[in-house]
Amino acid sequence: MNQIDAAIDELRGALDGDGFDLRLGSVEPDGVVRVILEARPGACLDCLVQDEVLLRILDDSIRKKSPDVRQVILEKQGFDRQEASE
Amino acid sequence: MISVAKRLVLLDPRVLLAGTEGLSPRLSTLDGKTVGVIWNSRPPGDLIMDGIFRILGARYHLGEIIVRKKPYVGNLAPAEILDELARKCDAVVTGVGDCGSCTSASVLDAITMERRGVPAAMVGAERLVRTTGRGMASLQGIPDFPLAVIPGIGQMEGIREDRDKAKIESYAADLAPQVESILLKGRSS
Repeated sequence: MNQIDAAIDELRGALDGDGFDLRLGSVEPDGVVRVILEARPGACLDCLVQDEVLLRILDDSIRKKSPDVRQVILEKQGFDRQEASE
Repeated sequence: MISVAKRLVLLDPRVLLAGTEGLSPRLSTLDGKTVGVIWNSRPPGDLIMDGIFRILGARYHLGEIIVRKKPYVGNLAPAEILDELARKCDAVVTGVGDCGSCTSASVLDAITMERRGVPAAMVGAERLVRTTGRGMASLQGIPDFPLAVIPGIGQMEGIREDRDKAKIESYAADLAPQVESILLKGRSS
């Protein structure tokens, strides 16, 4: 497991119980890291922590382990499907 | 001849009581104190809170316990709840955080009460408190804000009062001494 994956791992465990997958999308040469947050079918949208808080946690933990990272971007997937089914 | 010290060192006891920067002054005891509860409306948080106060009630002569339920788990408690508890209470307990949004919002409830001068303890499941709860504390500029955790657990969905009484009591037993320590010393242990 690389450093960035390790940084994401702890938060992944916390979000999993609410029905979300968190994983590394890509690491760009210019230091931009894309993290994917996917809502699984049946995910608890009300339980999801605010984007601002989530990004802060990711940013802090990724930069701590990989100081060369310049920016962390959060990409959401599967949310349209969830909202449509409500 | 009597020598006189040229420099006096003044100690401010409030600094020692506060313990952590950003916290309001701590209480010297829970005896006779009115304690507010901001319950985030997620079961079995109400039962865990009951358990915490049963345990603390055996150690202290607690005053009134005022419980208020939040209408929505993921937001800061409404102004009327915060105003009422700030007016009436000597201390506040918030939680129980066991999902992403409710944990961070309960941390924000506690920090908001601290900023209004009321010592506050947020309680929650360790996996959430250490991530989303700590993230909110950091966002609020108090990364070391003391938080009380139920060790080793995440979401509590599926825990039922009739079937899981012992588990609920053990969670309360884990949390009660941490709540006591946060309100009196400004740290969770």
